[in-house]
Amino acid sequence: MEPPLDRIHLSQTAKDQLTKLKRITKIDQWNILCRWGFCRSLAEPAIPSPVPIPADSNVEMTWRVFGGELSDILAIALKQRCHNDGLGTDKETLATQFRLHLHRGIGYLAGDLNIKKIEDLIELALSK
Amino acid sequence: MIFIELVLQNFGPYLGRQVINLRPKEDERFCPIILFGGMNGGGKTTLMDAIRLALYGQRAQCSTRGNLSYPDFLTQSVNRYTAIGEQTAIELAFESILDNVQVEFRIKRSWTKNPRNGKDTLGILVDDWPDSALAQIWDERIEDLLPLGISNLFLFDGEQVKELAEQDVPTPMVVEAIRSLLGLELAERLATDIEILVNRRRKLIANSQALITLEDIEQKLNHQQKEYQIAKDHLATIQDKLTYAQKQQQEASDKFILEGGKIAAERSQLEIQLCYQQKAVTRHRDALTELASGILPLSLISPLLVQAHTQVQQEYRQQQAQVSKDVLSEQEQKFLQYVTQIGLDSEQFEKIKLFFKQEIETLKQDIQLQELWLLADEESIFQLNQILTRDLADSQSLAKKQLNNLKIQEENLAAIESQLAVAPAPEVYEQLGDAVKFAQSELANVKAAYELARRRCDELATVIENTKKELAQYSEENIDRKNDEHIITASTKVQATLKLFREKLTLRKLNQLESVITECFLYLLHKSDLVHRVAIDTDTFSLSLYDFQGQLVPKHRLSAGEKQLLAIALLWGLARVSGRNLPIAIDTPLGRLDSSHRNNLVERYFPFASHQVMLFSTDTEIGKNEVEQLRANNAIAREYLLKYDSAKRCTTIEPGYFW
Repeated sequence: MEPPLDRIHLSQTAKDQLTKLKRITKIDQWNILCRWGFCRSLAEPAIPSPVPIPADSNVEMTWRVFGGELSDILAIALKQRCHNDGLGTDKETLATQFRLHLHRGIGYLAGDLNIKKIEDLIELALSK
Repeated sequence: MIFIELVLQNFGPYLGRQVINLRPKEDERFCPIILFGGMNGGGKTTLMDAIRLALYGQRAQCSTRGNLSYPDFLTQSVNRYTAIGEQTAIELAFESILDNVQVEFRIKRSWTKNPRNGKDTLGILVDDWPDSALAQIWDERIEDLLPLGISNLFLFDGEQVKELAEQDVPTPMVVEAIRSLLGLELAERLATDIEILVNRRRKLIANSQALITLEDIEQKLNHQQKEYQIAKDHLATIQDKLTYAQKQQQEASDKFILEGGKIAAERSQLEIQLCYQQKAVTRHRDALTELASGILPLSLISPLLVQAHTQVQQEYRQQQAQVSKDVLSEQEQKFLQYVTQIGLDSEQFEKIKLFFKQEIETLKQDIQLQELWLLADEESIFQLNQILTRDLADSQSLAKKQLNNLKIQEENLAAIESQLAVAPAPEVYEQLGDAVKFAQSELANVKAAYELARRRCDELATVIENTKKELAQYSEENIDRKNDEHIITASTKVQATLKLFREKLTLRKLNQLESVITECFLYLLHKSDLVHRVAIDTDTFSLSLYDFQGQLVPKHRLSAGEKQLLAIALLWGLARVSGRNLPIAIDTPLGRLDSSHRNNLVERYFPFASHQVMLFSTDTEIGKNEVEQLRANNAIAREYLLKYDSAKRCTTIEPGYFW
């Protein structure tokens, strides 16, 4: 599968949020937490608000680093979501939506008061 | 004291063993005289010497000894014909009183020529029983029985008597003898002894330094004893404290061992468990983290994935249909060509044509159902399929399991933590330890204090002991000194008394002696008007004679015979005044005396001189008349004749006299 974008730049806000998550969950890899954030956003039926997201942090990674073994699956999921939302599946749309979803998901996770340790994160994956 | 028997063996001129019975009793009659007859050189003096030697041994004053040493004298006294190996011996038996019992002593002296050790062998038999202890102290013992000092006044010969008579002043020996006979020397010795005693005591007093007074010592002692009491009380208090501290320390230690140990054990166990549980929790968390890094987040978007999966399958089918339509169109052309070739009727041909048309339509419907937008490659499709059908569920169940485990572990951990919270804190342990340390230091302090107090007590006890000793010593010295002073003062009195006593005793005794001698002298003297009184000088014991007018009769006016009679009177008087019942031996008794005086002696002196009188006489002294006179008076108990055999050059003793 063709990746929706080559390099992912995170905002400073996302970085801060991820830092918090890192502390809580003891997961010390950005990419894993980003995966969780991305999936968390996709799980929300609402379309992410098209807000501008600055790439003002020093955290950046390639798509393959972000997805790892799940790169293709995640790309498919994004495509499906964009299709479902009726936004089209062109590469630009995909890239934009990905950034929106990623940052929204990270925000969700960081703001979730129920998530205090790794178990709570895992619980998210089991509740549905 | 009575001589019983004299035995001579190879002594002087006496060869072999000769036994002389000296018992003065004969047939129950009292006959004091033992008469020995012998010519000059016949051995009379030897007999006298034998008696002296037997009694006094080394100290004996024998006639032939001169200046010879005792061993030489003994050697000289051995009979020259004595067979080799044969002993020379003298035995003298006498009766005396020992411990208020009359016993028979037998002195036996024996030696050989050139005696070994230069001495004779002395044996004393008491009632025929050898008494070696008595032999050891014989020299002292004989002084009680017959003192050497007076022996010359009882065993004397005429020559000595002559000397005694001719001297103006008696020799010191005679003076000593007189003194001891009269019992004067006792008082003198006593005086000397007292003097010595006084001197010693004076020295003692001079030596004992001036001491502090008794009161001072007692005061000191009292003070020390008070101090000691205080120290002792203090010690008792401290001992109580010590006991208490020891108890406390024991209790604290016990408590520490009991509770502290328990706490430590519990805590350490709980802490180990806690650590284990914490590790387990961490492990589980790590596992969860691991899981989180896997496919688990996909479960959040599983509906999306299912949709995608459906889409993928549709797209796949569409693609398949497209391929099938193309293949089918191709096949239709070929088939229709073939059918035209084989010449099927047109009706059938149309039917086949329609079939193909329908088929393609169906396929077209399939293809055109939706447009293709997902465009997943085959690999992704396979992966998606795998995830949806298997991996996700697996992952979820694993996560569930892990979560459960984690929960259990966390519960355990919480339980342990609560236990730990309940368990005694390390501070309690420390408190216990501190208590033990405190108790120990307290104990050490109290011990030190106790030791100090005990030492103080000991020191005081020693000091008190010393003071007590000092007191005792002082008291003793005090008493001793007082005693000494008393003795010294008393001694002076005693000395004075003694002096008086001695003077009075001397006077008394001498007066007695004077009257006895006068009596004897007048009794023996035929010239009864010559002398009225004999006086004895109290210091020199020299005799002086006074006539009836009270005038001094000079001694040189007396004839030699009278002088001899005076001497005999002196001896007789001494013997009588001394009150001692001792045998008398007189050698050469009647030399130089005229017949009248001889008669007096024979008649008046010999039979009454003592209870035993041994006379050693030549044939001219006690001649036929005298012997017969004595015999007639029943005065003679035994008679012996000393026969000298000039051929054998030895003397034998035979019973009988010259006549």
